[in-house]
Amino acid sequence: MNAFLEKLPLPQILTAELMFDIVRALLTFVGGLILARLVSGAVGRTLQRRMSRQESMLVRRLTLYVLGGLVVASTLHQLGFQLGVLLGAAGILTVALGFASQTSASNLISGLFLIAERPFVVGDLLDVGGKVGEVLSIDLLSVKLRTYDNLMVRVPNEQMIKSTVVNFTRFPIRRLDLQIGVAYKESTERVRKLLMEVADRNPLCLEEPKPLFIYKGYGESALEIQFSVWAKRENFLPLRNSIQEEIKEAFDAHGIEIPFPHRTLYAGSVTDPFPVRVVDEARMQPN
Amino acid sequence: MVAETRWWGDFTVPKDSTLRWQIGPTTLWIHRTARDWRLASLSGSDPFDSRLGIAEPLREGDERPAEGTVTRYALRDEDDTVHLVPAHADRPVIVNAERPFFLPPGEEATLYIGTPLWVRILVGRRAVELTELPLFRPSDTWFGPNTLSGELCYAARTTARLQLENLPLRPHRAVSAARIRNRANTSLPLEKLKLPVKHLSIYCSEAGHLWTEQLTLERQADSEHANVRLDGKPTRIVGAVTFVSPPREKISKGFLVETFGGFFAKKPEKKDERVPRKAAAPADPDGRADV
Repeated sequence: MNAFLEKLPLPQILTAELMFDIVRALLTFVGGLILARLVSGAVGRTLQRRMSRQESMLVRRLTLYVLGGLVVASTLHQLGFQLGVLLGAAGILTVALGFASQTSASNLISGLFLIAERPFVVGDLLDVGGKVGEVLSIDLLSVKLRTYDNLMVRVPNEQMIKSTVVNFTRFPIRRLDLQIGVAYKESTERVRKLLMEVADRNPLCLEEPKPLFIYKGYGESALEIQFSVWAKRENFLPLRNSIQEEIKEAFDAHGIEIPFPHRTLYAGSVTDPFPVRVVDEARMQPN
Repeated sequence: MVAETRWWGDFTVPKDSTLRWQIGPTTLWIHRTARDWRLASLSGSDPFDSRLGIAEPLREGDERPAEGTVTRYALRDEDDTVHLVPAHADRPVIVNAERPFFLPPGEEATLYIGTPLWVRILVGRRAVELTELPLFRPSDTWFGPNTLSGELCYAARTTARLQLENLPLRPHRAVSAARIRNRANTSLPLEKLKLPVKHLSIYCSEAGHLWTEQLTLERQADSEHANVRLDGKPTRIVGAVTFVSPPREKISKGFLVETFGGFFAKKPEKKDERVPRKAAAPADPDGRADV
């Protein structure tokens, strides 16, 4: 830096040597940046075939930043700056910036972990803390989701790392659990047969893995049954709609009752009976 | 007789008229006006429906497509030809054996399998494809060792038969003869089979039924994988055949060495197991294991 400052006095300011240094530095800077861009582009393209889009983008950017840093350092060096002093100043500045940008740094590091771990990719359907949406992008600081009502939700990467994330689209098939109650008078064997027939008729319901019939227990007003069927993940919603409709129709057609909650009120032996009033008095009249 | 069963091929649809096809459970209406084609279809729920009606002009009182089911396609071409082309499913088809059986080492058996067909509808001189639809929508199914890895397939409603006479021939299905050879030292339990139908062509027999080329599935020594070879033409018992439509995906040299994971559904080492695995295995409470 001193060497550069020594060259500053006016009578000597336009010496050939200085001009040469400036032109050389300028050429290094421009040429270096172009080269850095070309190299990072080539690296990105090469890795695109082997890595995901986020990973290749990350490597490309890192290459660009490292090469860009080297170009800037080299340019400054050619202009006569002493890099040690600059780096010392930059170190102090980094500490100050580090305190100021704690959140961003945390998100950045979390972002790197997310990209390395790959729990989801762009296009997956996620549930993050009750927000359900499709992943639009996985950036260094945040993950952007698009919810079904077309809202953009920005979730900081730190939160993604800390909270439980449910990925609905990781595996090709999904299970739909239907909770069904039937009246106590019904034969469960008949209900099982009917449910299996409904599942068999529905083309969206997978034949394998086979539908699952679980007798869950004796509920307050119904025999509780869980009927689980599998579907291709894209057909999950159509199956959920169609099979419930078909089960209701099949139960109606075969006279199987889906009971409402029953309440039997008993006043006990020590209390007075409930007063009962007949509202349809016409029926009470003797003929 | 051939003419009676050929629902596929080229047909002329006069202007402002509707032709109706009944191909097994599916009813298809095709209507042409000067500038557009109108298609409608109705799928029945009976996979064993064998009705057949070919390019019948629609008359007063005939069943018509329901409101809202007609799809219109606008075309410049005023040509009046519609081409119906049978096609296989776009995924493999899983077929259960009529009764699970064992194939001892060195033995060979031929299974006859009916697989559901799709129809591609093309129109005009340039044969523009309008749509394709299943003649009977088979149920989805999963074929793989667990629910994490495997392949989505279609489940055939019919079973694979050891005798061709037992297999009813229906207009909406093509029949494949699959020759299975067991080259391993252990018996091969055969419960179900994955048929890579998208690699199969379609042929028509003299009797007017649709066939695919014969397949040979060869299980090598102590392997669950099978080498699949397409024999290039239907089994000899069909007699003379005519080519109808190419496969969805061609495979090089007509020879395919596939290492399908779990091609044969049951593990061959359980020689003494006489009860089908699904029936013997206790129901998994999460339903994950029983694939």
